Amino acid sequence: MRSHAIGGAAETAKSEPARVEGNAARAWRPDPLAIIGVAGLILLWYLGHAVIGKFMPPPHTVITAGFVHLFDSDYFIGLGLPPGGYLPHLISTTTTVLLGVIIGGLLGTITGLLSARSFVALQIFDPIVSILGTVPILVAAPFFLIWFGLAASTKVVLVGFYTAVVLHIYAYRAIGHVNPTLIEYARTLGASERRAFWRVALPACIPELFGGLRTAFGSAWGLAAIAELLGALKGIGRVIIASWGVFDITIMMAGILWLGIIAMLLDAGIIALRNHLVRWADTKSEV
Amino acid sequence: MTDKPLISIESADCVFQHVSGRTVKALDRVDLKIREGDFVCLLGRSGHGKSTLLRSLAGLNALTGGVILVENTPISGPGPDRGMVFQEDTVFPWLSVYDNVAFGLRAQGRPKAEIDGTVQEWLEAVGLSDFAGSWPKELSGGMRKRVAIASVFAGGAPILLMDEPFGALDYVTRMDLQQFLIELWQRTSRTIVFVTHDIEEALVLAERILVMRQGRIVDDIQVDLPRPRDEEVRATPRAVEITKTVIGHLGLGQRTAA
Repeated sequence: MRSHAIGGAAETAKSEPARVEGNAARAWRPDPLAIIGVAGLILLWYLGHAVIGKFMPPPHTVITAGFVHLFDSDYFIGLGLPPGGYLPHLISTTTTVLLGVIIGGLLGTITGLLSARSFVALQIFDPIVSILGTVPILVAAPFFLIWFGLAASTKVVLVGFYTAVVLHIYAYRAIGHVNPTLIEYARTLGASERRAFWRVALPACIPELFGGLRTAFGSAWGLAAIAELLGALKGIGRVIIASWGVFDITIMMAGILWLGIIAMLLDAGIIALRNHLVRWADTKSEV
Repeated sequence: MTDKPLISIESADCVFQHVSGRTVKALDRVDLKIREGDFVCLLGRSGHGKSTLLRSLAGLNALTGGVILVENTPISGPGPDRGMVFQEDTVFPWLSVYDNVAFGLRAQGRPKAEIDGTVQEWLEAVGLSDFAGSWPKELSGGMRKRVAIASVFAGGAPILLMDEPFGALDYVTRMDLQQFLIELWQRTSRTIVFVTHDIEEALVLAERILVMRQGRIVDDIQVDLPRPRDEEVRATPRAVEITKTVIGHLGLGQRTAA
């Protein structure tokens, strides 16, 4: 009897990956509505060009400029930018966002979870988050620039700081949303309070934490760009402010386009990661 | 079954302070002894202390007076000797069926080989061996309840507390699971304390019915009916008498049992 049961389990385990792959294949099929959306946007862009004229360059001009100046550009050197076209700036901004979101996200998640667990931690972190979280980036950025200089770490600190605030709030709220009966059930099965936290409360929070992560990621691009506009050696924000100085709208827009594409790809990566980690949840469209 | 009480509840009080400032006595000097291997149903209307008593037994609710002894030791908080099945769906959605059943054993730090054997055995017992690798979302409500029951039995607790576990299920699934629970109980001789507001359910399951009203145990009935307790057994004069007695206690004395 038992050997039969084990065989049954192995069989189910074997069929599992096939099912997951099936899901992934379905997720990558292009959505006809998305295609219509993109086509509409491009149409609107051409329309904008027809109305506004040369200060709203058409998509093909912007895309061409994006590729022409991608790896190497004398024009960029002429603008006072370091040699190497868009690429080093895209890498700089992307690295800033990734580092800031990862470091800040981890810190914020930890302080949020701590605050949910301990009253002392709540008393310490809550006022910090409430006060500092409401300071607008345009007000905060000059301070960071004075304290940390023009180095790349300044941008990371700035992005990390705001990410930490967002994830702190999400993590704290997520723990509050965990069904208390699940914790009680774990306790009656013999789990210590500590184990119930790590094995029940924390996994129950993951879908909501991903919501926070996506929110933070979305604003992180803007934060990084603003930090670069205010002062940085590298980054897409730096390219935009330099090309703004000579009214080169095409270069500005191509920079934004590149950034948008990278942001979209990373967001798709987060969704894929979420769908994998939260494949046990009932719905996938929650976040 | 021995005569030595496994559970001893001595003058248990539980007073809640209502938001309005009014105090509510959820438990009012409850004295109770439960023998090892018994199947006890706590029967009563909503808000008359059944769940409070059960949660106190589980260690999830602190008494304001009195003491609960399990094997002559006062309980302090929840423990692996008292498993609980809730009315709510408590199967952990992020764990496979296998890992759900293994949860209690892992929490108790049992060796891996023992965990594997026990989990297989209980999956087999609840008829879910083929679903070991499934996510709970892929199961029906009744199957998920079986997972919860398997998890609690697999945990090895000698005392099983059940808080209206079948309350949210449809009629046929409920009857099915009642029958199934009786089989498991007869096979394992665990002690079960089962909360319900359904007289029929108590008649099907219980060896002993404790009727609760306003935080007190107002009657203690030995259900000396043969098993299985099918429709015919539940229609015998003794069964009807028990039903009438219970209904009388619940405050519907004017009406007949039919």
